[in-house]
Amino acid sequence: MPLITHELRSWQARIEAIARRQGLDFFRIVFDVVDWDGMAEVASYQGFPDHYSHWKFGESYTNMRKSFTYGLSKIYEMVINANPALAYLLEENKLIDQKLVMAHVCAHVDFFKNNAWFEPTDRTMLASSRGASERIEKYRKKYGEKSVDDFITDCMKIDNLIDSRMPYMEAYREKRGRDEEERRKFKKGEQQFKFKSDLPYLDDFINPPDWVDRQAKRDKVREERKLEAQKGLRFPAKPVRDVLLFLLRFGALEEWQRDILDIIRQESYYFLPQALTKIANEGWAAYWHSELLVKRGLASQAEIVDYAQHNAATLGSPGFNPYKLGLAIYRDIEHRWDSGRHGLLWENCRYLLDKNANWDDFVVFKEIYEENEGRTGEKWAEWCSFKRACENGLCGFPKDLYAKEKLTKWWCEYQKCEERFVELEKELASNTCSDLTDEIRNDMNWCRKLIDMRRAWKTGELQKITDPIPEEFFLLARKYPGKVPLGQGRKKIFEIRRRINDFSLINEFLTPELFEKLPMFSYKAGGGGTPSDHWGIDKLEFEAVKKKLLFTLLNRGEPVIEVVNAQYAWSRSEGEYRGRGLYLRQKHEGADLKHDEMKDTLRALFPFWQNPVHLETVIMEEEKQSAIPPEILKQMGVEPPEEKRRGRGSIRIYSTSDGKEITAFDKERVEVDFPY
Amino acid sequence: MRRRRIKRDERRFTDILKGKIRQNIKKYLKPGSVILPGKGKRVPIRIRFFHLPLPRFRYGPNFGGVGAGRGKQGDDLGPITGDPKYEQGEKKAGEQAGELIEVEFTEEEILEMMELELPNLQPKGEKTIDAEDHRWSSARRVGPESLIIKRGPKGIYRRALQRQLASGAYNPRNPKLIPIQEDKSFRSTKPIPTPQNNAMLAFMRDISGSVSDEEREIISYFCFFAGGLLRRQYDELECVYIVHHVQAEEMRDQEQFLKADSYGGTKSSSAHQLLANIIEDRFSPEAWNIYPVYFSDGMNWEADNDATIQLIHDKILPFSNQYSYGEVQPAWRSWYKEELSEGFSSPGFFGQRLATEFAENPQVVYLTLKERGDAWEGLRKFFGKRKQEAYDAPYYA
Repeated sequence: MPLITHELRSWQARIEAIARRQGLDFFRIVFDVVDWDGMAEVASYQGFPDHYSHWKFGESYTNMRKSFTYGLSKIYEMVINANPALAYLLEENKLIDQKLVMAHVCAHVDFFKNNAWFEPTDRTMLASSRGASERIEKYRKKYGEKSVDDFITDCMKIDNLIDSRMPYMEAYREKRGRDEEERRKFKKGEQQFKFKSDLPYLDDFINPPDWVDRQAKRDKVREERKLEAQKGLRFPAKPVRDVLLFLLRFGALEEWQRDILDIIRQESYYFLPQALTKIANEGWAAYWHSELLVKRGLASQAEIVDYAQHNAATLGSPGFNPYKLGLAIYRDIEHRWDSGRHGLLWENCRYLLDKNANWDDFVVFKEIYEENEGRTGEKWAEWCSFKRACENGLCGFPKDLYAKEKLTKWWCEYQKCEERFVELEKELASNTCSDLTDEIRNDMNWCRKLIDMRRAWKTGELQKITDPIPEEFFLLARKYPGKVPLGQGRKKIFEIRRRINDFSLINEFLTPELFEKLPMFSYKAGGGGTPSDHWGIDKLEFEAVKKKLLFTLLNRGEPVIEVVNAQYAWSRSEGEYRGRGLYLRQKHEGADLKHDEMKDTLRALFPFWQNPVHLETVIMEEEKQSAIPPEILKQMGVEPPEEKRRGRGSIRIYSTSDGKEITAFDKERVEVDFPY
Repeated sequence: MRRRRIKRDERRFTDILKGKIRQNIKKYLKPGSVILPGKGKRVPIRIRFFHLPLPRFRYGPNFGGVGAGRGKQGDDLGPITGDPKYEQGEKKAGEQAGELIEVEFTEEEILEMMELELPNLQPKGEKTIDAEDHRWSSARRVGPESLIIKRGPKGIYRRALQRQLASGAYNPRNPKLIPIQEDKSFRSTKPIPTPQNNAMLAFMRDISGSVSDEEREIISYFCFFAGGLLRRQYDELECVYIVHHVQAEEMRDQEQFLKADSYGGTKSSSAHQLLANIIEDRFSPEAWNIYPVYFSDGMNWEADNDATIQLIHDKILPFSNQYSYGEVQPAWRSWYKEELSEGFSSPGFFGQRLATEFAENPQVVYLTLKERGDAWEGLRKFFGKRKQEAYDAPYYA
């Protein structure tokens, strides 16, 4: 394997220095240079140099190598979350690609290190993986290639049956304990879960009847479960989502099988945070590679076209693209927090302002108004002149840099430019890293421009313009007092990268305005009246699509399967006795399992238990959709039928008692809520 | 170390695939899934099919997902067997190539899987009777160092010992063996004569107006594979191509044979007569194993049927090892009733005649080809390995 060249190494140092200066904080990164073949190999082992071997990886290797040769796909980066992080560069790539990958990787590693969801991960995974692979090699020799291979295959079929909340349980349990205690203090009554209310007429609002019903039902089920557990008819007293752990502890496995299952479970948990933060992580990396390469000038002018092309290829690849979505969200957040487009003031005033009024004007006005206690005077004139100067490139301001969205940010910088300049001078004096000198000089140049402008304003060289202030500005400013800090974009995205995962990122920051720029749709089989064996676009409205998107991000888009009872007996009519069946249940949330695959997976579960295995799931009845799309109904003047929030289905239990034949048994009909 | 591991995984994966294909050869050896190389012999044959991911508990199609892009409600995004296509064309290409796996088979593996052979083959032919098969079983005096024989009666040290003993130079107290050039012997090949089978494959087909394009396609497919695969197995395999409508004509090569097109009536006796002539002229039955293969849609001029049967009986079967007849009967053909009035035999009529005439004769094999996939079936039926007596029962019986 060729070593990283001197040129690349110096670029790495430079990129890392600049990234660190921008606030990124990452582990040491080790880059490895590989050729196509090596990249295909590394990628099929998910980045691990010493992964255990299995034919499934051979499959992805074959596929990848072929798509490389046909030029259909190109892996941009491959980075392992470990300390030090390991990343790969493709030997054949141009220098600009390597720079892009390096910048991208820096941001990824920063995310690995700082994002809260990555905290429980094993940073020594490289070593663990090597140990695992050696052990599996040993088992191969001892127990035979085929039996080990088959067992790994079975494990891979169920490797998604982990509890995605588990690594974060510690914190969760603590909090829950506190809540419980607090609740216990309050209530004394037959229904333990009810919230306390002093005013009887408010009781129905504090404890809505249907909620009380549901809680009562849930408590009843729990009570029954407890009783059964005491009688020894039920084994995990509470349902367990970590099916792999359950099988690991109680499954009918040999020691070596247990070890292999453990290895695969560990790996599933290792990759869990990455699955939980796909959009957040890729968006962060895409944001930073463009920031570093374009804004920080790491790409030379000759390279910028190549850069743009590759960037566009990554961001523009069709389908649901986490890079594109994530990047757009981060940019949007930065813009919103730079220009005060968030919080109470924004929510309250955005619709009250006149349509022609400029939000930036208003926000700056508000700032000035608050600072000067109701007077605006000179400062307002300064803002107006500053705006004009930036727009028209006066006082040496580079006109081609002008972007309307950046005005408020620049205004903040403009106001503090002198102090900033002093800081930069100090930094330059104390700087020891040669890679950073240019960087600091660049910043100083920019600062100097702002200082020039400020001087021009003071000397009167910059023409003084005062736009009239709309009356409503005063009204609103008086109505909603309080300061709105501007220019907080960068700070905000750093804060977010600390705490966010995909679910919360979309939940909090996918706004209708952003949705308009990034049109999305939800689809399903037979959606919107297409034939039921075709995918069809189902919904296009913001609310519906966002709900669906959130649902796909919940639990990584995997169904929730839990062990309900490991002492299940099919029939209990003849007195109560313990069974040996493993009873699993899909927590049905409006989406069925894929039928054919489900049966095969159930078969694969049998070897782990060696006793009957049952799976309870719900089969939804097909919705009867009107053949006429709602839009046309609307045009015809007919009100389209109301959106269904609930569907009907029947509980079905699949069981296998020999790992081959599967019997199905319909139990009862139920109503299921659609959360999306 | 690492490089070897992935190669091992890859090999294991291909082994599994090959096993799968072997198990269910009919499913995977579909037309379009087999890529036969052109003329080069050593090029592997590739079979491609869509790989199946490991089953898992995952959401079914009634869940769907979220896609990016514009569209309107009810837009069709393609069948649920594949991933939804968001933008026309673009996604599709990349997706499918990723899913498609090509497995390379050597010709031996394919032949073993297909189990093809020329049935009832007998050693015939004078001119090329000796095929040189070489075995590494001989020794000679000169050769490359790497092929020196070290052990055994011709081994270098034993020779040296023998020489020294004979010349008295050997000292048991100080046993030194110094081989010289004369002691060296080298591995060498020895030609082994094996009797060879000369075989002639005669493809005949009906190119009259009643043969539709689909039928032509099936026939082309069959000829392509039969010729290609059998030629790989037998070095000396002559192919003769004959097309006929009212008159028969010999074509120069396979390409021409498959391209040939004509309108007009059908007289299958013409082709059989021409074949009989060719056999007489060029392929003496003493020297050649002869395998006529005749394709038709079964629509022959009715009066000609008797003549053809007679020809087959008198002039072809006595000299042939096996007579194969493939009747192309696409299921969708429904217009034959109109043609009936014009004095033609109905589709299948020639086949029926043949079946009744030669019901007892194991030399005659016939098959109905309904679609392109049947070409494989046909190949195995005509040239599949079988026990001598286990000829398939006549189709129409």
